Amino acid sequence: MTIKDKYNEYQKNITPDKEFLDNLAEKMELEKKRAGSRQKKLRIVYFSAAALCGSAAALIIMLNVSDMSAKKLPVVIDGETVSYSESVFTSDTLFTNDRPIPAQLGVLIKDDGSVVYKSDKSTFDYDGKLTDDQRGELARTVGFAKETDEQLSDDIEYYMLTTDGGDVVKFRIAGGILEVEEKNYKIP
Amino acid sequence: MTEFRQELPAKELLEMYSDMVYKVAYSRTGNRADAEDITQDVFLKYISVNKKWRDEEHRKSWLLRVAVNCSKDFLKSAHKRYTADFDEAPEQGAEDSYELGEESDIAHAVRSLPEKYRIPIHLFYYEEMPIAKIASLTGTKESTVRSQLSRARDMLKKILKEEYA
Repeated sequence: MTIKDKYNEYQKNITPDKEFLDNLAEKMELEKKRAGSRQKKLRIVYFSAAALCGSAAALIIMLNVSDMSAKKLPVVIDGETVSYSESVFTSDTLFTNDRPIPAQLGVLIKDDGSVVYKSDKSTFDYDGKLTDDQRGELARTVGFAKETDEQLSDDIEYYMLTTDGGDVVKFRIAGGILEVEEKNYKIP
Repeated sequence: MTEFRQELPAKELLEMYSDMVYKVAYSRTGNRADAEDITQDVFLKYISVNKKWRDEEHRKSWLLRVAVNCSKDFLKSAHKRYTADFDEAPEQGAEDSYELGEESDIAHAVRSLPEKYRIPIHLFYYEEMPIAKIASLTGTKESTVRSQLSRARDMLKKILKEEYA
């Protein structure tokens, strides 16, 4: 038996628990419904605005709002998602050396393709997904943080950010200190 | 040939890909609880992205890419470094059936590999992925993957004390 055969034989036993998968499937279906209902609510708001005003101004508002929402959802033209871009993964980190990491993190948090989750532990649930407003506030909070030797205190807030291309960044905030990429930054 | 469907019920999606995602996560973290956390993160992201899939291969590649990234990130997290040093994993995993029985020698050998070798070796052996694709998924050069695989195989061979064929 080769090492490959042995490895593959061993891997056959490594499977997730059925109970875990059943719970996960339930959570995913729940989140799908939530996402669907959020989009439906958004559409109702647009049409209500137009119906109430019944004027060119309402149409302008509707178009503007529609344009804003288009930035948050993939833009579909002829069945192709044009806002989608494959990640090239040129390095282990998303961050470059030319700008402070908190500033880059702030941009990522605000990015329409990003999804950010917050949790009081190091695992994340659908309920922890931040709204656009919360993402904007968080981006402003962390964007100007400066490097420090100060350590995180108790009551840590955990965050997970996933980009449209599938990259993942996790960071923590506690007592005005941001920890990301193994460094600490003081939030002004 | 089955027709490609853009949307799949969660249960069906998990039947198709949870095993693949979980195995990648486990190969990197070496314990069940962490692999479950990562698997959940990956599928949570899947639901959130609202992406248009070109075909089944596109969906599979994306899930694999996110699984690799989440697994790498998981161990990079300072919290995990402080609270769950990988050296403790065999002890944690001792309750797992994976580590029991005849497979324990290979399980031990795989866990002895440096973290950065575990995913390439898994993708190469189990997913039978070409080096170019492993390089693209892990964000490394092909030459790096080649040398990682070579070193990992040498290490496994040494640990298992058998001829590599």
